[in-house]
Formats: sequence, structure tokens, C-alpha cells
Amino acid sequence: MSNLVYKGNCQPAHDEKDPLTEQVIYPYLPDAALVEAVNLAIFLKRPLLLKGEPGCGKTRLAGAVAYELGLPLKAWYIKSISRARDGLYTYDAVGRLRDAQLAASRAIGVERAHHISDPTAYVRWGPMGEAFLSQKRTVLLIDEIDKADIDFPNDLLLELDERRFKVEETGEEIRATHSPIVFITSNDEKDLPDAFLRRCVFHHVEFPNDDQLLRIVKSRFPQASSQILTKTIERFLALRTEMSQGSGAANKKVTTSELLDWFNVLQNYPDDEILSKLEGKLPFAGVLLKSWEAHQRYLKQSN
Amino acid sequence: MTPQEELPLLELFTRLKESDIPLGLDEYQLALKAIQAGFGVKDLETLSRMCKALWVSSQADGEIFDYHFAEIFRAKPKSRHGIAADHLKEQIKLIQEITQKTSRYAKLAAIVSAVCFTGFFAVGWHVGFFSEDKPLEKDSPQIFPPGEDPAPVAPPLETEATPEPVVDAIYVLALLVAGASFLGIKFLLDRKNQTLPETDIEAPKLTTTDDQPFQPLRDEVQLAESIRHSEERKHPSASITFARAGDYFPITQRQMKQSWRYLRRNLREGPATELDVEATIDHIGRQGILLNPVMLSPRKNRTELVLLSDQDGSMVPFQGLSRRLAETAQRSGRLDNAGIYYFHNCPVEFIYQDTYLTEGETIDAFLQNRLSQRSVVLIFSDGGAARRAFNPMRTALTKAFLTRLQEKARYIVWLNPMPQGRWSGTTAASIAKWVPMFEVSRSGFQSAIDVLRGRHKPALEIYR
Repeated sequence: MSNLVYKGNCQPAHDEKDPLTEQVIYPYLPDAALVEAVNLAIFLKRPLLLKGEPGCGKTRLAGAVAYELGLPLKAWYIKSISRARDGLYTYDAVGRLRDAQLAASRAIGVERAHHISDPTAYVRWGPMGEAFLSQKRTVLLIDEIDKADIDFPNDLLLELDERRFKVEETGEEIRATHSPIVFITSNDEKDLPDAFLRRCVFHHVEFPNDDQLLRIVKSRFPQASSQILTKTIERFLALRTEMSQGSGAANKKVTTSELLDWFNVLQNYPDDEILSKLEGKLPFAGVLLKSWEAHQRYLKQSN
Repeated sequence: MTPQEELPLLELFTRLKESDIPLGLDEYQLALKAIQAGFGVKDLETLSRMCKALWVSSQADGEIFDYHFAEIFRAKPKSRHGIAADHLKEQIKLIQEITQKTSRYAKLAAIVSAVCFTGFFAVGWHVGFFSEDKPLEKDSPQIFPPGEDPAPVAPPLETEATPEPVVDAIYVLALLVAGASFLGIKFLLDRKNQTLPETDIEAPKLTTTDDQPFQPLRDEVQLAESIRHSEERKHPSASITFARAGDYFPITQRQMKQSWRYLRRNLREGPATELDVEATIDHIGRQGILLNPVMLSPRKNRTELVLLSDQDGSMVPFQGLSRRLAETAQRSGRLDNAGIYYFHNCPVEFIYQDTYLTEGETIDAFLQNRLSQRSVVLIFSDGGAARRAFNPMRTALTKAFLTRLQEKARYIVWLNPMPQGRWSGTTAASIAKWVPMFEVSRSGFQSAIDVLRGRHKPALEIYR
């Protein structure tokens, strides 16, 4: 099983949709270093920790790998109140109590009453639990792990290391039949504990260079003319360079995902109009500039 | 051929460990396993990327990695097989050069001592005086070029050169030649020991002047440097000038982070979201029926840290440290609402919210609004110890402020960037009588955190 190799060159056809979620799958163009890191993580069966600017494709990588290798994807989106156990399972203790009460007062039938004596019936699996139980190797995405409590990652050490966990309520031990390919993303809002970091393969996702950016936009909008493409990217990169020199609240740099959104908006206009818009004041600045300072600074300069 | 024979991976690994990057043997074996499976073997670039992915987990650590990687694999040929061989060749060449240089000294030493001793021996023959210790001691310094230290060499020679009174000129001459060559060899070895580390130390200079954007102010590198550097100090001639105009970091970022994590007081607070199964069952037992499940509030860290940092003046050298203290408290602890305020020398009337001391608020307002019963206060200041001055005015003002603060805050601790040995006789020493004061070091910082947790052990009160 461990001879799965990600190449990063298998892209979906235009407008191809995920049969399960009915969502359009977009192409993903990783650089060589990222492909290496993914394969290293797959081979060593360690989670791959991805850091980098927001909007540079950390989360999307998991989907792309799952698509190319033809594996199911389980996503676990972390919230500030997430606990490590939520990803494995939740136990509906209240439901069981309620059922027990109802059975005692004979309000439910015998079959349901039978159900109550089986504690496993009240376990609901979380994304990680499902990935462990799956009969097929799974791609597991743990998104924005830094949003949770600072001890959250430490609570997952055993699960990630030995790929097993115990359901405390039933005493059942779950072992992964196929160790999932785990991707973890972090926006670096909080520092992760050392013990956790030690167990991960780390990769910093870099912002794509000019050529890669061109290829990314082109693969997303194959019908766009190359003149428009180069002009837009030129303008975008000029803004980004300017932003990287600034400081303060206005220096949130524009990212790939914003470029794609921006290009999407521009696409609604005829080519000559786009060109004339790009020459003048930054068009649809709201897509790119996300703070009042940025609006003041960069809109003024582009006049 | 195994990878460790070809590549100085272990050296790289050791250096990274010394630089305080958390690594275990597992990680090293993982790298070997990956190399055996064919990862990172194409060229140095892929090797670097592979090791980086496995051993490094942040961009800051990545810079440290790049620095050591570049230093170890510096000026090496592209092919893997050439690396070890080339390294060996370099070493051999270096040794040959030293041998050539030192053999001249050895020859000179042999000739001079031989001439001297035969002269003395001839005189001694006539007078009947055979002690050779004294002339040897007198002569041996002349053998060396000025500036070289012969001290460690002389004693073993003394013992060796004290012969029984045998009246045999040839025997003595042979002894002298042996002694001289011993001197030569010893000198050669010393030179070798001294010269090799020198080239090692010079390497960082070379790499930092490279075009790659390396920041030499990173404390981990600095720490590693200082460890290596102090090792070289054992050889006095090897301690070449290595002035570093960097910040003063007696504690690394990682150690700081680890210590902050201890500062917590978990209390149940906020909306009740967790089910208390035991209490619920107990409830059912009493009432005979489940009416409502009993819910609990989740535990949360309720420590409110207030960091008061001295700015400007004598604290300028510690600005990096102060910034880091603030940064680590906000990012790595469970201190979401850490308040950071600034003052100069001593908070007299105002306390400021920015490092430039412009956005001020009165101390009255500060004590009233910013502190609660949960607040713990950490003061970061040298207390006059950096200038070695005792200022009665400052002492009185600080005392007045601390008295007011003590009424409001739960715990107060003082961190002094100056080492403890420098406090005596300064304002800091008198302040230390009023609040627990610790120097900034691993243990000092840990003790300060213990105070803030309310676990100040009386045994530690030697600081008072």
C-alpha cells in the first residue's frame, strides 16, 4: 500500500464535479518541493504539516491528492471550541439516558429497549474515527489546527503516532486498517507544541512565482486570452510587491485565491474593457484590498 | 554503502540539536529510512529539502537549518560520492601544510638544544656537574619563536631529560634529540588542534556575507555559536576576535514558550456546554426521572497576565528580549488577554501602551481599569543594575508603585535582565527586598512563572 506516489500532474477536466458533493473540482498545480514533501509524508506515514500565507492553497492540497490517488477525503475543520476527541467520536450520553427513561416508562417498544443495552449504538464517529475505520486508505485533512486550544495537538499524539484510539464509554479499541494520509494546515496564529511538531513532516507552502501563477490562472480559466492573463497577473504582482514593502494593517498581501476571484470578476467583461480597466484605477479593489488602510494607500497610489 | 558514511548527516543533526531544535533519534532514523527509499538523493537541493521537511517545523528554524546545511556542505562538489572524499582531502592538505611549517621549528629546536647541551655537557664534564634541568629550562624558551607559549611542553621534558649520572655523551645526545623531536611533535599537535577549529569558526563569517538572506540575530544560532565558541576558548591562541553586535538572549525563544505554558489557572466559566454525566445520574437517582441533564462550563485559563516592561535608557540592549517576552506570552501561552504596558525607569505618573511611550494613561486609571483579582504582574526591568547605580529616589518611587500594585494584583514578580551577581549595591538589590526578583535565565524565568502561579517556594528566597 505504501507505494502510492503523488505526481501532481493529474488534473480534473474542466467543470468536472465531485460525484458526492456536486462541487466543481478545480485543478491544483503544486511545485516540485511540495510534491516531494507529500510523497515523503506518504512513505513515512507521518502527517504533513502545511504552513504558509492564507490563500496559497494549503487546504486545497488534500483534495488534490485525494483526487489524483482516487482516495476518499475526510475533512475535519477545527474550531476554537474543538476538542481532540470530537474528531474521533462523540458519545450521545444524553440520548442514551433519554431512551433508558422512556424504556422504563414503557413509552418505546422492545426493539428500541434492546438498543439501549448496546452501548456502541450511541457512538458517532468523527472524521478521524471514520478515516481509521475505513476499509480503503483515506486522505484526512485537519484544517487550521492552530484555531483550537493550545493543548489540542498534544491530545492527538497517540492517535497520529500509533493510529489507534479507545472509545472510553464502550472500551472498544479502534485500530486503523489502513493508515490515512494526514494533512494538517496551520495559519501560524498560535505556536504548536514541540512534541506534536516533532511527529510531523513540515512544509512551508511558498507563494507561486510568475510562471506558476500564470499556469494556475490558465488552468482555471482555459478560455481566457493570454494577453488578458499576462496583463492581469502583471498588475496583481505589482500590487503584491508594493504591499510587501508596506507595513501595518495594510500589509496583508494579496494571495492566489484572491487573484482567482479577481480574475473571475474581470472575466465578466469583454477583453478590451478589461484591458482599459487594468490600465486605470485598480478595478474591483474590494476583492483584493481588505482593510481601510490598504484602500487608502494603494488606491491613491494607482491613480 | 550506508548514507551515514557518505554524508555528514549526523553532524548536521547534532548541530541542529545544539541549536535547540527539538529532535529525537527517531527523526534521524526517519531521515536515513527516507534516504534509503530514494528520497532526497538527487542533489544537495533535494537532500536539504528532505531533511528540512523532517527536522524543522517553522520558518525561523528553517533559517537555522539553511545556515548549518550551507556551512557543512559548503563548497562541496555536486555529486554525493565526492563529498566525503573531498572533505578528507581538505583535512589532509591542511595537516600537510602544518607539518611542513612545524618540521622547520622541530629541526631548529633539535639543533639549538643539541648545541647547547653538548656545550654544557663539555663544561660539566670538566667541573663534574651533571644537572641538566637548569640549562634546559633556560634554553627551551629560546627554541620557540616569540609569541608561542612553551609552558605546557616544558614539564614532560624535564622529567624525561633528568638522566642518571651516566658518563656517556652519546646517550645524552640521543636523549636530547628525542626530547627535541618530542617538542616538535607536541608543537605540531598543538598547532593542528588550534588551526582546525579556527577554520570552523571562520565559516559563519563567510556564509553571512553570502547573498542568501540570513539573519544572524537569531538567538538559537547565537546560542549554538557561543557553545562552540566557548569550547575553542580552551586554546587561547584560537580565540580569534569574534565580536558579535547582537542582542542579549540568555534564554531561547523555545524555553520561554515552554515556561509560559505553565502559567495557567483553569476555572470553569462561560456557557454550560459540557455534560456532567455523574451529576445527571445522581439527579435521576434522586428524582426518579430525567428532567434535565446537568451541564457544566468548560475549563478555561483565567490567568490575566500584565507585563510591565521598562524601555529606553539602560534597557536599550534588552529591547530584543523585551519584545520576545511579549511575543511569546501572547502567542504560545494560554494567555489570550495578556496586557503589555511600558514605562521608563519606574512608573511614576503614567504607564504607556506603546514602546515609544506616547500613548499613556495615568497610573490611577491603569490600576483601576487594567487589573483585576485574577491579574498577575510581571515587571521586566534592570532596576538600575545595568548602570550599577543606587538611586534612593528611584527606590522610593518603585516601592510606592509596588505597594499600590500589590493591593490590586494577585501576584507580582520582577524579571531582571542583568545577572544576579550585578545587583548588589544597586537599586535592584533594594527592590528585590520588596518583590521576588529573578534574573533572566532558564531557571530564573521558571521561578518567576512559579511565583505567578502562586507557588513561590520559600527555599528560593535567597533572592531576597
